[in-house]
Amino acid sequence: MILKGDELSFRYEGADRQILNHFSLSIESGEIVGLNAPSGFGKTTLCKILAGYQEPDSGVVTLDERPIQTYRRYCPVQMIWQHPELVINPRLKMSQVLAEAGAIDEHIVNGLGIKKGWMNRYPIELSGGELQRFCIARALGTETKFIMADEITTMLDLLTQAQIWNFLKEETLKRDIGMLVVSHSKALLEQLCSRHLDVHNGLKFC
Amino acid sequence: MSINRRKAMLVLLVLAVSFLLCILIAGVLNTDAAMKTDFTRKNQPPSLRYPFGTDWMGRDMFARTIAGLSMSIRIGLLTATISALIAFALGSAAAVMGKTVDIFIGWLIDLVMGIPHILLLMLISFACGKGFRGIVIGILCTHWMSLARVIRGEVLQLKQSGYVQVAAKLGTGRLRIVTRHMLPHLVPQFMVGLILLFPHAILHEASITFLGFGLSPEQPAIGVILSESIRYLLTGSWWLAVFPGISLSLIVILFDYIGGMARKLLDPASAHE
Repeated sequence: MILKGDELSFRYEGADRQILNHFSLSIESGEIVGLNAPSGFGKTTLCKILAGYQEPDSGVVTLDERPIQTYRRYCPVQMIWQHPELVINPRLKMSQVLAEAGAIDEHIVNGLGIKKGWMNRYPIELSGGELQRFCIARALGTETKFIMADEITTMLDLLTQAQIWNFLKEETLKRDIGMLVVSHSKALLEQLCSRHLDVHNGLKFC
Repeated sequence: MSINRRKAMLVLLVLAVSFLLCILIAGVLNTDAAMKTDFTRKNQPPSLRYPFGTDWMGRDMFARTIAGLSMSIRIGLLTATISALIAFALGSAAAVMGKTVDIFIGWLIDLVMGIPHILLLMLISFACGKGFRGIVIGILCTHWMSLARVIRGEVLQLKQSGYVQVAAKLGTGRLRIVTRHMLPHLVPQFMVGLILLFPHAILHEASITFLGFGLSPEQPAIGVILSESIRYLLTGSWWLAVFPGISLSLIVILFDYIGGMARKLLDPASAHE
């Protein structure tokens, strides 16, 4: 499958700055693409547009020619957010949070280091890093074809980062999932990605 | 078994609610005693037999106070519940039914809030023929605005919240999003708003009855008791106003307290307190 963003433009309402200006990219299944850009360049906005959370002002995002906005049920492009505490309902137990994505394989839960005891807790009783593992597991539902990872391990220590990225890389390769990895860490992107989008090399961010 | 703050609070909550229920039921069963006149026992100060004393017609003030409080609680329950439902309906309609509806409801809220509360209440009650019906309609029309605003804000915020958006992308249906992600957040707000409406409703009922625009004088209501007692205070019958007044304040404080406790109990952040 190919996830394509074609001529995407976006500007926040009332803001002067054009966040995306006729920006195009495509990601293939099984490919891990890295994106590094300074703060405020619209990396998160790009992820949101590609995952269908936000409509671009112009341009279109398609998954094998089908516009992403037309997926009314489970969206094959899943985004993992930078701040897990904002995307988990504080009133649900963690097992319910996970169940929302359908059946999540046991090996995903184990591979991400999610402990059994966490399942019965409320989000407020877990740390940011622990919550993020749930968000990653939740994004790996059976129908997921692409993942937008928006600085997902910034709050984790290096060991845990390594554990999570190793697992994600293995899992996405195994299932032929394409992934866009947004990170400030060039070393991480070097390690992980087969291709890089670098805003300084002529991509039309402006 | 150790008792944590949450459990202790739950016990207090149950006690407070049962106390209010007792008064409510006692008042309903006891209306005859509250109306009974006996001139052999008039103007008696508080004693063991008549803890709140008797009035100039020899009516037992304790029975009258209980009956009055019961009437207040009934009006409070009825009006607070319906007001809260109105607030919920209008608040969520403003949040989800588009800009025009939002502007209209916002305008309605400003309009009703712009007129002094008690004045509007008196006018409506008077126009509806005073009495029980007048008071209930009056309070219903004047007490829904603040909660409606809260609900509107809450629904707008929930619609934009990360987890609602993620749920949609995970294929969760609209109905399930409402029942799973939105209502559990709204219900506590709604409940607390509803409970905190009681004291308002009760006090306003008593005040407009006191001013003569509410319940009729033959009904045992705290407002009636207080306004009648004024004439006899100068002759030294202080108990006619003091006990009913204190009981009314107690009931109002109790409701306020229950509201505060409910808020804490319904908040998962305080699960371990």
